[in-house]
Amino acid sequence: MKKDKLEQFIDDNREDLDQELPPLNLWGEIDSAIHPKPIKKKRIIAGRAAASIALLVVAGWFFLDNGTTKAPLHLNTAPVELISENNPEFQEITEFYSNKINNNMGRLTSLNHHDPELYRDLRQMEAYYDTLRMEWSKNPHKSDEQLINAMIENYRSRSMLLENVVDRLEDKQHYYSRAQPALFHHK
Amino acid sequence: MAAERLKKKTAAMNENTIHTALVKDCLVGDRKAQYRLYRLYNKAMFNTCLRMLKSREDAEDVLQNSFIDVFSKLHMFRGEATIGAWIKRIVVNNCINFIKKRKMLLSELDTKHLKDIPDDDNWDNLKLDTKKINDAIYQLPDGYRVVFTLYALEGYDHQEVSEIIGTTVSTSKSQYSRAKKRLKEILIDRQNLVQNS
Repeated sequence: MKKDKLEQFIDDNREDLDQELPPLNLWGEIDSAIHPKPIKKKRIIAGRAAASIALLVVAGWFFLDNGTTKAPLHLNTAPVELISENNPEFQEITEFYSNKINNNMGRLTSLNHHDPELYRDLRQMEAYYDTLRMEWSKNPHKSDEQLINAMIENYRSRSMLLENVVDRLEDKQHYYSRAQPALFHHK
Repeated sequence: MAAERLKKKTAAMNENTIHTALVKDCLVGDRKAQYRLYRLYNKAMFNTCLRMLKSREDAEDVLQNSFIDVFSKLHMFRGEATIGAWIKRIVVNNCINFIKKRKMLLSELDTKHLKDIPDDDNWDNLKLDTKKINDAIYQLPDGYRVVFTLYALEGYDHQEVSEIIGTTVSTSKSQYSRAKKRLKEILIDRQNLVQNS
């Protein structure tokens, strides 16, 4: 059937007719519905909770014990000299994550994004890591599996948290750079 | 001309290959891939929902549920259609189900206020633009708006439209031509209003 003027106009301008954008948070809803057991999230939350508790418990102890101890909270350096005695595997794993964290810190910097909350979370988790490490160095057997696992898990959580945030930011930036011109497209 | 066609065809093929890879990644639960697929179609599909449902809130709800359906049914995608067409069908079906639950479809078949406008006459002087057309579409009664959207904007033929909304082909055709007539009326009325003011 031959198209009339209106139909032809619609065909020719089909994309311009779609001018509305869905809300940004919609993806979050979809994502949590299709991943009903967000393991990553849970671990990060657990990590955060643990970090907060550990910080509270340890903070007092630091003051009593060391007086002037200041936790080394530098984000963009591979923290701590790795405890590598008899454990190259552990060193390898922590190096892997710390490289990853450094890379993502680089990405975050280039995104020009200031997120004090993220930095605070990462610092807390890092402080918790240092506590664990100290605990480990006090242990004469140096093979406490639980401690080692907790340290690796801590590294992993930090790395994941950062990567998720950076991924999302990059996606968001990409989304805006693509979607924004259409918003203002009015003839 | 032939070169142009070939270029278009190659572009379409490349797009299909990319999309096939994306679907594969989505199937293994790759979150980034799932987000990319969502982002490829969310804008177009949101506008489809808006046109079908008219309400922003409802459109957001249906879009959200549709993409949840998309990802949970993705293993059923066989590649007979493009992934875009497959997603669109899910979205459109969900819109129709939503409307049926609200019982607002095809309730406004009255044609008594349709003026007798000659099909392509004074109509030729009408200046068309996308905003005016969008506004006019939103003014159509629900039944008209849905059929018009499916046929003129989403590219379904009358056979498909009748299947989607559960009616006959001839109802779809007559409903569409009335919808189009009403839309032209709205556009002409608005133009006259502007000219007279």
